[in-house]
Amino acid sequence: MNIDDSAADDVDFEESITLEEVIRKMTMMWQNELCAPCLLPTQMGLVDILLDQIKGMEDNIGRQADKMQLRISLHRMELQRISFMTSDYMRCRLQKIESNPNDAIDQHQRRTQENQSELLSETELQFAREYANAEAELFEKTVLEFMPAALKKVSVPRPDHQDDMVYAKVLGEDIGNVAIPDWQDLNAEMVLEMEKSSCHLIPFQSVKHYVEEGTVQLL
Amino acid sequence: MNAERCEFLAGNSLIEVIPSISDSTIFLISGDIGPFEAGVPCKLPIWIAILMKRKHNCKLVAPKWMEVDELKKILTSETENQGLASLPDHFFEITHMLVRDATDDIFEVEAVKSLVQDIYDRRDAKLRTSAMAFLSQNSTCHAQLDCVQLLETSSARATLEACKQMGIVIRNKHESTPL
Repeated sequence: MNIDDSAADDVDFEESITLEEVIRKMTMMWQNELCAPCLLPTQMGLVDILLDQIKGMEDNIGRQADKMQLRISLHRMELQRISFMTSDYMRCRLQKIESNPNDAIDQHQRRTQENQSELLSETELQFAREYANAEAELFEKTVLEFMPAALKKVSVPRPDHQDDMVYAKVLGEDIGNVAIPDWQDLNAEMVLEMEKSSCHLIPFQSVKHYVEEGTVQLL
Repeated sequence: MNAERCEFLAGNSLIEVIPSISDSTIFLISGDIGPFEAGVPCKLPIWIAILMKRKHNCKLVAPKWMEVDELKKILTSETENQGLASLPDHFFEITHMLVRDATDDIFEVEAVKSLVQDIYDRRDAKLRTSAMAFLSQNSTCHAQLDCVQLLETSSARATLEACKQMGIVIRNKHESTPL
């Protein structure tokens, strides 16, 4: 069972990335996604690598049927753990998309225009569009049809993540100073020094950039 | 995040085991483990250790901090200091898993259980007081909580979210009530 060679060949990650690294990163991204108040940039690359591996390993196990008990059950348990993690990651993202598909699409497009990493993967984008359409259709058929023209338009709620607080732990060495809004003077900002491995309860907006960079981990 | 997921994450931390079987290296996706030699201690992720334990293939070695004396020290420092004491990562999750699945490998289980419960209660009380202090002020939107554990933030998040919703409700009420 040589696994390392087949890893990460068709994905735009550094070629030397090991599977161990992929799993470590996926675990971190999963934790971030669960703790973040809004969608984080997609990590479909990682998910795809892992799904590939799961499939390969399942074939492998299928062939080796019942040769060595412990070995097989360890492999099987690992597969279950990895697939739980990836499915739970996707589940969490889909829930966030479902809560406001239109906003997710808008944010995604804004990020693409600004040349930032993509918020949604292709399939997620498709899902968001379909969900938004289905929802619009449902509203149309059940309620809006019977409304006077002035009330026919439903505005998209814009969730404001400005005030959302998150718990964050500093992983990187040199984050330095982070600006946080000053509540005593709404136009001012306060600067906060974040040391390595300190934990903070802090507005998400202030650390968002670092979370995407991977130097801050959400708790 | 919830307690079960915290425990899942904690399952990735390493623990020392003494295998009772000999086996060659196993190439798992998340890294190779082994080779095992009966009686020679080695480090494994907890989820593997517990699986092997269930099959009676190994004995777990409880981490050093899980000894009663060490726990007592932690408890004292938790009592004496105002801030949170620094605990090993996934402290509560690991204890929970080991107490549940490897009862016979821990020395003085009952004492360990009650000490860890005491530590949890102390920390919970501290976090509660600081959360109250934080929520009842409006001058800063930042709090430093060094050494807080994933499990604790996960359980505090619901309260925080509820307070936020409450804030929205109250604001709406103020805005919609005629003066």
